[in-house]
Amino acid sequence: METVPQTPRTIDGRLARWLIARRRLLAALSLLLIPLAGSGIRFIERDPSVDAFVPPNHTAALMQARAREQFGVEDPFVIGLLDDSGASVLTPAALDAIAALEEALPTLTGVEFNDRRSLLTSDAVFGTDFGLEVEPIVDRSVADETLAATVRTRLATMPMLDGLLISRDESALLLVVPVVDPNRAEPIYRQLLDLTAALAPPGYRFEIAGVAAMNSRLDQTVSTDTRRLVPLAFLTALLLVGLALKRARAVAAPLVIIAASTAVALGALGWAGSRYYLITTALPVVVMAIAIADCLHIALQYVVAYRERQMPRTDAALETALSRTLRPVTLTSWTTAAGFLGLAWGANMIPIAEFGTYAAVGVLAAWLFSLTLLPALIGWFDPRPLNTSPKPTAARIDSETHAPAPQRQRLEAALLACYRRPSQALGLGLLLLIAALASASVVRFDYERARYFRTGDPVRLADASISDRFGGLNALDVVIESPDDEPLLRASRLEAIADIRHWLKDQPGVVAVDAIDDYINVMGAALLSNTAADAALDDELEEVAPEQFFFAYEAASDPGAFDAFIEPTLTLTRIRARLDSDRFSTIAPIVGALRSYLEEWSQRHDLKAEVSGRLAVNAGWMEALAGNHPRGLALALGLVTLTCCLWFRRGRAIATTLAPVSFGVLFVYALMGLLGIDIAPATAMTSAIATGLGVDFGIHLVSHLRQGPAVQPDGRVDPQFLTIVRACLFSALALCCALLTICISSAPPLRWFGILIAASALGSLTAALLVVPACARLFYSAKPAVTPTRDTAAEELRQPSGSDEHSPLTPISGQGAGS
Amino acid sequence: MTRFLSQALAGGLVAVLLAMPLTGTAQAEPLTSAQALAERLADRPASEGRVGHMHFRLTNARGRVSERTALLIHSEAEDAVRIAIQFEAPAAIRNTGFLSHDFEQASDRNWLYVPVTRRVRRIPTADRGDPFMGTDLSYGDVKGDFKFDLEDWRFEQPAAPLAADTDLLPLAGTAQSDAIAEELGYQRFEAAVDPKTLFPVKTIYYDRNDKPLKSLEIHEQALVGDVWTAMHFTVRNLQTGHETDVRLSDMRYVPSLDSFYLSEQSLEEGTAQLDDLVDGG
Repeated sequence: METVPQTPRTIDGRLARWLIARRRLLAALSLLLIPLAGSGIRFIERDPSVDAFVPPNHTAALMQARAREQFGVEDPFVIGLLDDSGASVLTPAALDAIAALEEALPTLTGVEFNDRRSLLTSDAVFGTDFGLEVEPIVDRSVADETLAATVRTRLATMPMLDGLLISRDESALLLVVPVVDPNRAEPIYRQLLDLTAALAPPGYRFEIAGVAAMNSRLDQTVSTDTRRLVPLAFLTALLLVGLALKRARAVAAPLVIIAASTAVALGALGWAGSRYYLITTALPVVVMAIAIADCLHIALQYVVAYRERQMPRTDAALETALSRTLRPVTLTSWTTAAGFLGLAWGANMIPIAEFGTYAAVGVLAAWLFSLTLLPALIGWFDPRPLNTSPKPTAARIDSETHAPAPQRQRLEAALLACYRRPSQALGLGLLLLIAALASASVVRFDYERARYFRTGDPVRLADASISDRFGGLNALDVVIESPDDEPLLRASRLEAIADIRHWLKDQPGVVAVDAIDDYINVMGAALLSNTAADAALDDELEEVAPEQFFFAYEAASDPGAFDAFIEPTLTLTRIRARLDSDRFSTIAPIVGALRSYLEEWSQRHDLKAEVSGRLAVNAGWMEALAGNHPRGLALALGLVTLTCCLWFRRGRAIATTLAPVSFGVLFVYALMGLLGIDIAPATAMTSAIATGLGVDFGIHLVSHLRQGPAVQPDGRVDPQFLTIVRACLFSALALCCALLTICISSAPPLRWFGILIAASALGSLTAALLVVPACARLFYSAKPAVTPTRDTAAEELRQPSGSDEHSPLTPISGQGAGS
Repeated sequence: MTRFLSQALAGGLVAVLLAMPLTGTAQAEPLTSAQALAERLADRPASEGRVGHMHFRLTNARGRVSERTALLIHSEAEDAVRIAIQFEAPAAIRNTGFLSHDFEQASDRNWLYVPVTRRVRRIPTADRGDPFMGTDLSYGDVKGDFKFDLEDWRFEQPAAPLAADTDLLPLAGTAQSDAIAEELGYQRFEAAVDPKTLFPVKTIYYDRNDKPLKSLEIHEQALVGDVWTAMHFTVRNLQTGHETDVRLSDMRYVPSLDSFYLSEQSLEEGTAQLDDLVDGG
């Protein structure tokens, strides 16, 4: 075999020699840095909430925070006691079960016990000869036989409660349990499950739903599956790396680099005080993908370089491998990091911005360790890669590419087919792009909380069961504030509030509206029930009458009984509408129309009114996502393109490099369209990630094309090119297999993430195998593969990235200075 | 039982509470046992009549505050305790009033006047455990006049004093029966009694599950006429976090009140005709 001595006079060569000569020192320094940076992991605080995606200054988020502070009934657990027999749930056994559950609530840390709401905590207001009277709707002092009738009678005095805490068909009771932090209520959820299992009376079943339950369940499934599947994905990816390198012991070095890069990315996250969000789950996988690609390119080149030498030496092979890969690995890493930083800068959602930032940190860590630690590790773990030959039964290993001969033949045939018929290859690529575009065109921004759970998930079933009987549990609020100290309980202001209530009731999908004016009307009717209406009240008294009604009610009830509706100074109140859906595409028009209506209403009545509640918050962050998604993707693509422009400076090189990127990104959207996956917080980043991953293929291949041809004059694919393609193939396959492992998760967000990133990797690989060889033929075969002179090499040294000529700086097996 | 009754009775009890009569020499005898101490509290004499302002400050669990101010008129004749509370603020409820006649030998009578209804209504009495006018005080709290009814409680020395102040006398009690506990809403109490005034300056009540339910603290006492009166006290519901702070001001001893001020007619006429009386005109 012909040996090609690595020349240290090139920048790459000199740097490679310097790195290899000091690899032990650099490795020691790296090994010191890893625990130092990685120790930040212990400071990581999890934040599984979807609300973390809400920009902190978003109006809806601010209003919800204020409503939570004032009224304390945001995003509760909603517990239903259901009877499937068709009988009324107004039985002593059912009511006692609810009472027992309520009694147990104070034992649960984090439950806002005093804000719980059920039929048992609700009062009936009615008039007697004595005036306004307040009695509990459920009076357990009456005989069991008359209990249901008593409840119905008292409930009839409060028509606004109809279908609110007991279903209209009397088949279900509701207990609403607010918690201090609905985004971190998983321990409460578990305890509630235990309690309800123990307390359900025969013939009834408890179901737990509500935003707090869904948040908790999502937290459970994602946490469990992440712990289980991410390591499995790592192992799967490493198995593929082992297949590429043909040696089990060769996997050790990449394993360390992957682990170290991930540790540094997560450690930086911890040191910076950032939180581990739902989408941060993807961070280790993305860093792993980048690190695998870096490691594979270097490790494969090492094996090839080792084989190239007649008297192989580890040092020399490492030096050659590094000198060949240093530039593309550096370029891919920095370009990918730039893409992630673009994602970070373009996002105004903290989780996405932080994901971009720490993914960039991980990518740069993978680059650093690939150059400083990987050579030493390869030297330690796999110093003589040829000493362990493949088993006799195994396929023959191609000496030039370290690939099994059949594999090389198939790969070479595929590449040559595209290379020799560039028009057809590009035509096929174009068809694929058109098909992908057609599929991607149906993708939309949408979100529905229930879709974040598999069809048979308990919380999804519970939500469906309760919603079936109550019409829907999704809250859309309006917070109304007096602009002065004048209370809202004035006749004119209550009329204005009633206007909003009526407007809400007329909207599609609204199943109920709960507002203070309804209650005041009941109180007034009760107080005046036996009063002669012979003389009209003077205007002044008429105006303040609602506050007197309310005072009469307060005087007859428990203190703070109406805290969930109106603030004690009577200057702030809340209207709550319940909708049958939380799907963004359904509620966005209503929320938008409500905002417009309230703007006009506020001007007309000189009162402040803002949209609030869960649905408004959801709409708020989805609108923010829709606004920022194109910007984030454009920034990522822009920075990647800019980096490519700075390095390659030639349109054809840039176009060839970006082909795998565009395929990767389009494949993501195409698959979303094909599978009906929406652009939502869990999936919005995948296209930007695809940008970072896809550019690797292009850079590695184009870097080679700028230095040498894809196909040799003898018609064979250049072994170096083939080695690079093989590294791309295996890194893409490793990533795909790893991500498909994640797809077995029961959490749809994890499945979506896995399948979409896998699609992006396959898309980029498709372009690398289909489009890049065609481009190589069209753009890089016009000039013969020449042996550069020392003068051109010197010119290249002066302008390392300014030329698109074949570079002599990295000797290529079978060609170049030594050929 | 309706809660309006609570209101009215509570009104009367507030008056009693405000009266809190105890002569300055009442603490002379040694207090040797819990029962003896309770009897001394129960024997506190009442004042003949007084008028003044009441300021209610209600704070919910989230720290939101609402305030109300009322005029208070109290008279204790031989046959009955008569109390009128007329609200002055907020302006929207001005002239809303409660009247209570608490007879020793006959049924109590209570009235309510809400201006928007334009008539005084007779209202029923309430359970002692019912809340008083939307405050954290119960009708029983007010009726108790910071005393512990000898027929309701079994008294004992608490295992540990409630207050660190060693000058205060510890006292504890347990409801005589389940029925009484049910009616009062309290299973037991622990208190620290000021030996000088014989007021329980700090009391904690426990619910029927023996969980702390309410705390009642007297912050300020003063002599009105010749009797000690709790001028400022706070009741806090330890389970809901809701709190009621009551402060009395401009309290004036009026030994011979015109009965008109404690009549239904007076209730309907509102606060204007009471200003001179309360302000000493």
